[in-house]
Amino acid sequence: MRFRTSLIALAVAAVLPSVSSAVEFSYNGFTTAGYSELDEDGVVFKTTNDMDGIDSSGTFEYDSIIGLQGTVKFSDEWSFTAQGVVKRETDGDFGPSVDWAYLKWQPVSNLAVRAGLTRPPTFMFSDSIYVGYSNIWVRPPLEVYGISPVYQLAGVDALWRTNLGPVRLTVQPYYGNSELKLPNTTTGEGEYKLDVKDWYGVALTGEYGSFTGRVGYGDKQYDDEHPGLATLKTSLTALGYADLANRLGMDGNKSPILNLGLQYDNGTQFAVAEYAHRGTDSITVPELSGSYFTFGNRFGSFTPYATVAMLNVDSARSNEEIQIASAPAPLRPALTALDASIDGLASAVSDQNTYSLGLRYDVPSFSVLKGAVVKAQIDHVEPKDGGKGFFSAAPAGFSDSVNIYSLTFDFIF
Amino acid sequence: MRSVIAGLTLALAAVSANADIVVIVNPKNPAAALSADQVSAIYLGTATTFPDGSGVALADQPEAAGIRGDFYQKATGRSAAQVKATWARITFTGKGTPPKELKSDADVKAFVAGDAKAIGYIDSSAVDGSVKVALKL
Repeated sequence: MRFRTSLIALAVAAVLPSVSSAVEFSYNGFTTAGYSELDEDGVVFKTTNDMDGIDSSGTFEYDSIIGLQGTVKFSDEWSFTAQGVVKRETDGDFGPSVDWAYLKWQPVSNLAVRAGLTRPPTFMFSDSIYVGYSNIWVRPPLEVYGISPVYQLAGVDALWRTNLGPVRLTVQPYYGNSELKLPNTTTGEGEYKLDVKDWYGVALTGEYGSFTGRVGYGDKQYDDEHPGLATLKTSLTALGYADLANRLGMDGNKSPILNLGLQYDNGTQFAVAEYAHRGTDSITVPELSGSYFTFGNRFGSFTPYATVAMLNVDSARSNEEIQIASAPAPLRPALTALDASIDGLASAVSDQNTYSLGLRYDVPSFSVLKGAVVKAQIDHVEPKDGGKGFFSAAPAGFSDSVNIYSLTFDFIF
Repeated sequence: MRSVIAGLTLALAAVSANADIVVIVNPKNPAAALSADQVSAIYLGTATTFPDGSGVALADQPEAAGIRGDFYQKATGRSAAQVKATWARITFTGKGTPPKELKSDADVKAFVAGDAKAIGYIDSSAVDGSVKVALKL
């Protein structure tokens, strides 16, 4: 958090001298109130960044969020924007956090450079996943959006728009640092923060008529070890597997992500498809491919939609490097336990398919609410390969299909 | 009574079908005309400039005005609600600022007449020499 705070301070300090009487201030907000539950006891649906998720007892907290954004415009070229959100944080408690805070310089209408806290365009809708009002689904398909656990960039990005013949092209490069926040699920209290460095990438978006196509690529390096893996790595090293220990865990691991997206929207019918692949150097961080296809049709204020999503684990889900049989007998129990730990981590995720049906209803706007939407969605999740798919917790050996029921109210004001 | 209402509805439908919407720009704007595709891109936030590369300042009509829905349907093929969702995404990702909502044809006309970068839309009957018609919808 230190480097983020100092970045914001720097950004504000850089701008203050140029404050003139023509400063304009504006603010906007968005909020989602949601309820969701699933139909299998002991199974939890969540991202790796969440302490708690959706379970069979239901939750009002998983999808609920309030966001408020303020922009101070100093001139046509310079502005500062901050967006704060109140939602359930990684540690499991509801609380406020700064989601965006950047100084923006727009020297010409088709170029903007931003410095501060932003959300990089890892996937097609990565930067607006909290704005339920703008999104098709209750939440974006986890098969794609769940494969990158790092969201917030402390650094710089640029947005450049140009025309390539009849195609409107947007180029968005970015560079900076970040933090991976993981819940401390061992104690159930607090969170781990692992530094992420050298996060860079670019998103190219082309629009032509009703079609939008996009290519995104980004890479980053984890610069801290997950505290929960310290004992495993020390034990492996002590038993002569130093090389294997070095290829486990988070520290030093690079995680390049390639994303392809295609969208069609003629105003009435729309279709969206995305593919994403995550590479890895670590045995315990799986290599993943995810994809989805969504189709919807607008009938006045009602928009039914359907999604098919797939997650594939591309890396081996068990490790064969530990030679238990040839080891001296007294070491075998320890090696067997270590082998099981590594396999447990490598097989934590398995392939899964999700089939979803949803209905969006645009409520006529009233009073201070500029827009309101109600969404109902059912997800049918099918884990494969005898694993628990992308579910974060499930009873031992569980690999059955699970239904998730969600209802959300999204507003902008 | 029913036939009277039906007649009125028909008459109103005929009026709204005849009411042309025009997209207006400042007389200093070098563009002789804009295509429907260019206007659509500007009002959906995918184009931030006029074809010559100069910046745009967008004017909108009130939420309650009938012309707003008609304009977005004709110019972009989308409902006013869809366009609002699009601008919410643009706003909260810092990629742009939604069109400035003004109160009437007269206000939009005054805004466009007073800013070389401005673009707006009004009923064709409200057009005068202070603005230039760039597209008839």
